[in-house]
Amino acid sequence: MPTIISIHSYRGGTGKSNLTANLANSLVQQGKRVAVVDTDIQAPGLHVLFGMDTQQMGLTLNDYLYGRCSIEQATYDVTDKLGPQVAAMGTLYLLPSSIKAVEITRVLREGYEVNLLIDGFRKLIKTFHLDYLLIDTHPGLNEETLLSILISDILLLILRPDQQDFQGIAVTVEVARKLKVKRLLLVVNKVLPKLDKVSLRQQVQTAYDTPVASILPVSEELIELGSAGIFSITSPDHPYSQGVRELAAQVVNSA
Amino acid sequence: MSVFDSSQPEQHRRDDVPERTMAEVLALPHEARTIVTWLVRQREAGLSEVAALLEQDEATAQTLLTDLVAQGFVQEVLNEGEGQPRYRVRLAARRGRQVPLDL
Repeated sequence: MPTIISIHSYRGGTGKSNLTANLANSLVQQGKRVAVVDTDIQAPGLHVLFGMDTQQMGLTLNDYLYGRCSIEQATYDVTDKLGPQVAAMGTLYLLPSSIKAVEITRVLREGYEVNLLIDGFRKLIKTFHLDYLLIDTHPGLNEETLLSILISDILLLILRPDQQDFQGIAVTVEVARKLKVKRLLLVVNKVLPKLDKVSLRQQVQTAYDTPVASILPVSEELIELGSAGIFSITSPDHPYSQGVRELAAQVVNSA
Repeated sequence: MSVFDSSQPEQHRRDDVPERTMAEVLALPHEARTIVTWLVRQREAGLSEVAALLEQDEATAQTLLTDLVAQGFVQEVLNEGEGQPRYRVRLAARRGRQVPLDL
């Protein structure tokens, strides 16, 4: 059964897009067929991690939502961006959002047909025989993120060890439960090395009555990479990359 | 069903009732919310499937569905060759905002 995973955070800057790209890489390494969708239409950026520049980007999610193309036409095979070793294991597709100002403001001004987005995801899964569809969402709670949460089989909520994140996640967990999400997992990201991970995991799990799937360290190397690639490819032995692999294993086991 | 599909089922739209938002789905009572969230995931379902979901008889499920149709959360869909209507969630398009035209 194909699995839809939404990667969401209440606040921006939690490392959502990086986690989405790295998780996709780990799933492909397990031989899976994966697609990642950038539904952060107001502030897209996932394409950067896959080395897709503005010149390369042709049709996008925006074109599909306004009836200018099919969803398949706006979806790109980016498996080769993972390197030859990984490319031999599975397949990765990317459905980017437009980074043209005129397209972003059109979405803000006119909105779009929500049902079309759901139908498009179904079509993607069917056409590309996907095992996993990863949805990188816009942070916070709005109509699109509520919809992404609702249609997900697994919701990954990312938070940092930060009081604002803690409060925001409490709200998001409550909403996810109301929307009857099948599987809810927390990921604590950007954790300082001096923090006791075992204690942090227990505290977060108890506070939200939700399993913590992974605790990922803050990484200078990841910051240095500056979205110029997928960190778990360039630094596979780094604790961040190991944490993402553990997360991928849990996702595969819980699907 | 996408804009690229050729066959469109007949949908009984309630033009007098506004389409509903996800935020409004959140405010529904438990049983009604169970139906709507499940229908979004299923795309559409018949009365017997909704009754099975709720573990209730069809008459009870029909009452709940009729209420949801009246409120604009759900619409009846008549697929060609099927005698009984099926039910589909009726979500509003994402609304636009006031953005300067010269942006």
